[in-house]
Amino acid sequence: MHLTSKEFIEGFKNKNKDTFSEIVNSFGDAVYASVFRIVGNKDDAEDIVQNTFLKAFTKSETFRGESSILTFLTSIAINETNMFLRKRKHLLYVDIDTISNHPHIPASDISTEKKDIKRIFDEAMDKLPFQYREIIVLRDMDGMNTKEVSEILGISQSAVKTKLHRARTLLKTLLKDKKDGLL
Amino acid sequence: MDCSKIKKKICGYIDKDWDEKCCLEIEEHLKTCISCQEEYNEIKKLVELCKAQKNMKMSDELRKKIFEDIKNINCNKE
Repeated sequence: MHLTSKEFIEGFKNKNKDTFSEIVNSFGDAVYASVFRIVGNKDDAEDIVQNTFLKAFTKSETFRGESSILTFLTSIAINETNMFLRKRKHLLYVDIDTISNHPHIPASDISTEKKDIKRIFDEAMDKLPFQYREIIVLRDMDGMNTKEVSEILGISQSAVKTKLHRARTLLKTLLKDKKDGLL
Repeated sequence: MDCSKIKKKICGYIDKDWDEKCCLEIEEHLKTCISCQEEYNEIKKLVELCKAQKNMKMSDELRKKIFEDIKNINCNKE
């Protein structure tokens, strides 16, 4: 199915079943990747993503079209992730075993050297406070722009820039502590 | 601008957030300041490292579960 952007948005707001399916196919992987990077395990990420889509579709009529559908979905996903982490007080980040055993990343795709860098990176991310981790995931890993991140987190663009600067500075220090010469 | 101000603006410089005048000022400073050059290179490598992290795909099982939810939403609506 090829829908124009207007048909896509109208279908979403009007709870059109085909549009919902198209939305899962178009944005499912992106939403899943963001959540997985923050919570660090497949089962929890899957529960959060399922709830995210259920919530998004249940209240799709509230989507005003001022942001993109992906921004709308990610915003719900970040809220769901926040609630989950608060409930579980589970602040672990991805470890290399989780990544290596992830069914959607063939183990052969990750060389030993890359595994080492990945492990160091994940350990450093694990040490970042949640508010910094989410901004690194959204801005630097998911490639969202400042405006999109500001909409998702409900903060000003200037606050996004300040937070991102602090997050990158802290992550850089953590990475340098772990492995000199990595950066 | 002194080093502390430049260092605070390096992230925005990498993200192309600043205007031309500010960028030129940062570039001029970077030409002569080793400490700020180091900060710039490290943040740039960090951003590249973040971007290089592998993407993940949702499983077919999860996709099926969500499609099942979609069916139910429509049933409830009707």
